[in-house]
Amino acid sequence: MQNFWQLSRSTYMQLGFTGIAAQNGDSNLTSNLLGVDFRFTIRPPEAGTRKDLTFRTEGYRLQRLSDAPTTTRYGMYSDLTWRLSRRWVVGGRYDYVEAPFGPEDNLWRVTGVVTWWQSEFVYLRLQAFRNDLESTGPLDNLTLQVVWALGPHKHETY
Amino acid sequence: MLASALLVLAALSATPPAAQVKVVTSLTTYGSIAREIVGDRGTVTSIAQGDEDPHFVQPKPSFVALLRDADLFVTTGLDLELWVPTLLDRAGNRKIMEGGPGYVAAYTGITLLEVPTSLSRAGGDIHAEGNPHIHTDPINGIIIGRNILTGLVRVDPVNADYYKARELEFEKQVLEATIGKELVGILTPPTAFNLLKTNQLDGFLARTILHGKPLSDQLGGWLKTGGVFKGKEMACYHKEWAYFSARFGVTCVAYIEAKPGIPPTPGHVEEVIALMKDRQIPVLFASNYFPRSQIEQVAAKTGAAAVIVPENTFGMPGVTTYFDLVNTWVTGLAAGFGKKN
Repeated sequence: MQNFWQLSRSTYMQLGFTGIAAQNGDSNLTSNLLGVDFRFTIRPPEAGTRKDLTFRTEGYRLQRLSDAPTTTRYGMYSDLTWRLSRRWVVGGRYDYVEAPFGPEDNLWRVTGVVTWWQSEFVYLRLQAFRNDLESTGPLDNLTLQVVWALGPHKHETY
Repeated sequence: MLASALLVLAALSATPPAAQVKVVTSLTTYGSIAREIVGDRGTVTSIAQGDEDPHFVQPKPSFVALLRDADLFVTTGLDLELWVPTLLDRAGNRKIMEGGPGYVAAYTGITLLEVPTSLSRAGGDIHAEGNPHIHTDPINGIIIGRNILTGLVRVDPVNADYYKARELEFEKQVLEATIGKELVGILTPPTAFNLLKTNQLDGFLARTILHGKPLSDQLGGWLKTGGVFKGKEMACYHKEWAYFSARFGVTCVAYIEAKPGIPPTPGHVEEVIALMKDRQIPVLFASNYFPRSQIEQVAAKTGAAAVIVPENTFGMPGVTTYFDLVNTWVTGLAAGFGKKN
């Protein structure tokens, strides 16, 4: 269920709820998943291609009813994306997730992103993150993505 | 004459029906033109805001709700508002889908300029069917009004006479604003429109003598004010003034955006500055949704006047009608060129 509010000419928010319940494959017992997501955006219409700040976050609770003790696990992420100009976008993200079943284990990740946007068809993205899985320890990663679009644009007739 | 005036009055004063026609437009300018015709027989709402770049409007759920209830939807019909198909699909209102009775393509009947000969993404955000910024020529404003009228008559035939009368009045007012009330009175609105539409007005006015003087002496309105910049060169930010340029005889010879829709590189901006200095271009003309600081920087470096205007109605305070909008462009440019003369 998604809800949307236009708070002012430049700001809007969205609040969503998700619920899933299903039978476990290995028994007659069920698992249920509840999620809530939130988004807040500031995007002045007169500068919509140059200024944009979006905060998103989502969390979930997974409950697994089984013959073994019932397990309840959580997960979430928060993401902030800030368009500084038409070409430059920076962002940061935090993830936390618990193993959905089995022994308790959790992973968190902190990510920083810088994007150079040439056009809607080409952009370069530099991403750095630190991962920490409780059972195996930290992992650092640096990625450079080159993203480009091929093929006709939606409105073009080929 | 008296009979037709009475008919117009009767049509304008007829009692409005209970059900009001709901018009939604993609751009505020189409909304302002529609409002001239709809009068008190309906509501007009626009999706994009007046100071928003119409190429990049972010679709929102509230727009879907608007379109779901609409009787008439007015959009350019070209590839300017690429966000429109998504909204129409989500709204699921068959009446206003392309081809439906409530769908109005504003460009119908307008001779498109800058139609590309080849389609390549190397050219930037090119518009496959031609330049879609059609409303920048006031004569196209009349054609847009006629297209809206056609749609209104289709979806609300009960009020057809009312809409026709108001549309005729709108046409007359646009013509009077364009070439002056006196000249429209002499030529009659249909002749004035045809001369303007076929670009024969200048020649006709120069060779036609009235009371011993060329008829061109009677020229007024925006074309008279625009005489200050007719035949001159200016720099522009984006390729959005093609129809305005053709009507008023002022040419964009350099663009801050090297390719439409692609942010300019510093190197290209320097090239534009050099060209403007070299050719002594006196004015930089731009819509107010482009970066003001960059426009003012280029103007300061070249000594040109920065004329920053709204591209659509409601793009700045006080610009609510189509007349206000064209007036802002013409008087703004005239002042910009005037400063440099």
